[in-house]
Amino acid sequence: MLDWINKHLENVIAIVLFVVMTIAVFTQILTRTFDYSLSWTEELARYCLIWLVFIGTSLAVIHQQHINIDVISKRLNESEKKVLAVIAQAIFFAFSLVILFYSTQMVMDLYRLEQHSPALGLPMWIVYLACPVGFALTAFRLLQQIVITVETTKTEMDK
Amino acid sequence: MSLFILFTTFVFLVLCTVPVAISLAIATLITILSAGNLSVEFLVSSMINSLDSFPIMAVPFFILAGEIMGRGGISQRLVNFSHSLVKNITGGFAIASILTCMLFAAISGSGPATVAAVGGIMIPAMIKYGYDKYFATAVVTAAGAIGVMIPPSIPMVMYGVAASTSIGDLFIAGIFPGILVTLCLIIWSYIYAKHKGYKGSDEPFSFSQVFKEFKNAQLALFIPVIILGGIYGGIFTPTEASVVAVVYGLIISLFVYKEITVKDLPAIFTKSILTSVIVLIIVASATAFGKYLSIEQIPTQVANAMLAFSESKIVFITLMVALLLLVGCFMETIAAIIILTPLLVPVSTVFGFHPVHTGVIMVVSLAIGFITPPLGLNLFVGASVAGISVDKLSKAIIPFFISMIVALFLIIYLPFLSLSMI
Amino acid sequence: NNKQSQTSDSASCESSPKTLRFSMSSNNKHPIFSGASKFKELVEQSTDITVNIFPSAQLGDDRASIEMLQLGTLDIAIPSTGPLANFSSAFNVFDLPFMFQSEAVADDVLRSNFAGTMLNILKDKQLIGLDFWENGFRHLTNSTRAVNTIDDVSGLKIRTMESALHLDAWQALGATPTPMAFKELFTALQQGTVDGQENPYPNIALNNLYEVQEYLTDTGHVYTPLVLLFSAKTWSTLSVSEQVALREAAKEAGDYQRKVNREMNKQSLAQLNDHMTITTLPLAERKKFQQATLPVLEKYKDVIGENIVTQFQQAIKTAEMNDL
Ligand code: NA
Ligand code: NA
Repeated sequence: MLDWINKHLENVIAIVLFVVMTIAVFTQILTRTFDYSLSWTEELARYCLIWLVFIGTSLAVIHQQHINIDVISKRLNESEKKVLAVIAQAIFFAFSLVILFYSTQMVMDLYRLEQHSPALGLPMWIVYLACPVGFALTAFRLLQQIVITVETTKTEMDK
Repeated sequence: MSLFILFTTFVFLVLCTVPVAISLAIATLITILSAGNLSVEFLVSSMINSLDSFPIMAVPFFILAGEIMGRGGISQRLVNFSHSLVKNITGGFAIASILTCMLFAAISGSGPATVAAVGGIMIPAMIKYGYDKYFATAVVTAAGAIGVMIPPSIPMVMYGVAASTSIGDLFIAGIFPGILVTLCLIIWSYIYAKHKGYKGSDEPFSFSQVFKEFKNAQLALFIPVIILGGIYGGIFTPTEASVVAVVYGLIISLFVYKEITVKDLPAIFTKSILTSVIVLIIVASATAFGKYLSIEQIPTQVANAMLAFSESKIVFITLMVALLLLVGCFMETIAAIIILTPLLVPVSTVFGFHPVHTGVIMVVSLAIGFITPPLGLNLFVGASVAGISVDKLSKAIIPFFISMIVALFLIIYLPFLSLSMI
Repeated sequence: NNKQSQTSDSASCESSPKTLRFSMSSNNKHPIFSGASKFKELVEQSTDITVNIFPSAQLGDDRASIEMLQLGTLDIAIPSTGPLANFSSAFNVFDLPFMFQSEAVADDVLRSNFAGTMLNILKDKQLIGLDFWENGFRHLTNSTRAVNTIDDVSGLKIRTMESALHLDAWQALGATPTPMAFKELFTALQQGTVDGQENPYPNIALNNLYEVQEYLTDTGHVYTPLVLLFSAKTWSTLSVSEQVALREAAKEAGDYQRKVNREMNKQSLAQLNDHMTITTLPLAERKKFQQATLPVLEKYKDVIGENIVTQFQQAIKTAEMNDL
């Protein structure tokens, strides 16, 4: 169970969000064609996109897909590369913690201030929650990777 | 000083292989904290609000549509059909890709969305038929910039409002320059293909084969008809068209061609999510970065300093283009238009440029910014669609960049290209 | 930095020089910019505060700007009351259709005790409301037919703001309201994805919508006020004398902004007249519009707060009496 969550959590959430986005926008086109408009389809799609991007940030860490520039790293040997990768992951990790801290405070502020979205009437803190949740997951995934890299290097060195 | 911190931090982090998006965000964060006039919340809310935009949604949806068409057999049929048409032409596939981007520009108002939609199909096709993968990716990445030159184009709407110029005229004025850029890209592709010997197949051109492939690809070829018809028939907006492409692609792939089943969908979605997210997270941090530049009024200061130098028309226009290309390296197009138009248009008018002409020059210059590092959204989409590294792609794109600069100067020196139809 | 040295000379001055960021969503040709510039000028004359104006939603649209005020990442903004209603539902009251009959009545109401009550509500939301300014009466344009009667509205696809109240009002009038991002509006009108939209004259003119719209009717269905807002966080760092100066500047600039807005209304209407067929809605027909939207008023009484609606109607009545 835990293993399944570990493997699929971000992926499942992200797919659900993307499917909801698709359905929302398609519904919007259909209903407008039949002279009836829903006020909330576009908003729902936009808020799903915000969640998708922040959850996806963590997913992209798992799949090591984030775009980076390897001008320097491709000139390094294997072990130097690993050190640089861990440094980069650590920087990313530290940044995630900073954003996690401040965005959590923001969500709490917004919770108190009771702003609602125009169409769905959704409390806005729910939209902003995407940021701390996304970066909490990102931080966790980075930590996993740092640990794995360090341990494999250790075992390699033991050999 | 703050600018120095901003750029050195960014470059340092990028060289440490920290992801581009995160490097930008950290650079902005450190600058904000060291200047002490803004809080971290500014960064967070700018990032979130930049994604709270409907037009931006065309990017993930076209990426998804491309992925579905790729796996569902639609792309293959389209590629087979175009192969039957262009197989005997030197660089035929590259030329077909560029022309497809130009046609697609009539649907999309976005550079990255164009790269996603066309690249998803044409890059693998070019690689399959023996093209160098960096060249293949560069072709579509560069041609994607045509998306904002040919109407509809959100940057042109923004310019028209900012400059109080007819948006309808701007739309028309963009057509020939868009075609010219297309031509310049085709010319370079032809030269390169000739040099590399991408002369195509030896089997003779056959009408019966074209007809056979056309019949096979019928339903796939119906996609542009539906999308163009839907937009110009007033059924959906260009952004919504991306979802229509997704739904149509799903129906054809699942129920007609039956090359995928529902079980394949999670993998298709995951791939599209990854490609979209890594681009959108860069958009988010680039917007925060751009907002910080606006708050510090850096684009304004640079523009004013530059305008002070402009004594003659030639000096002015050269500086203006240089400024726009520079800004295009670091800022998102619409933000750049909103900030720079009120500064540049009054001066360009004094130097005798028609505001519509200035608008075309601005949009084309900023469109070139889509393919220039460090912040070139087309580059990022292209690299991730093709699975190659951004720096390799940046090198491969240099000749295309030069072709576009040549086109830009023709657009500047031949005003009738923009103004003859308005 | 000149200002800095001047201040440190005068020991009596308790305040330190500050730079405040002022965000607005319209561009620098809109009357709101004229008002904001006037405000900047007055503030810089009477205090050591520097005001930097950021037009064209450079820092964020109205909704985002209000939020940034709350979080303290922005100092001043001038949103319409529409987006403000997401932060305090009482502000929906200004979006009720056909309440104000004239600008004069609006002027009276927006400087009445009722206006003070409304601005006070914002204090709980980390916002300081200084004054009401004017976006103005909203009017209907479309490319299908001239709207002379309520029946002509029937079936028109009209782009509205993303507000349930606006949607309900247009539905009550028989139209098919469609919320849509403003960035996509021009192309959508051009291709006919929607038939029409509604905005004050200067917005229609400045956004070139006359290029893609043929008919304009002076429906004046809603009068949209603007609110000059301060971040409560910034406000608390200001001295009492600065606060007084800012309040005065807000009022004076507000008067000026109204004047410019009304001149611009005339200019814009003249400009639109060159491109579009303009229809004046007969009084009897306007009554029918108003009648048709009465259920909307009933529906939103609870959302807004019954006593706010009553006070609003009272203030309007008083203003109308004064006007006679
Ligand atoms: Na386009
Ligand atoms: Na660029």
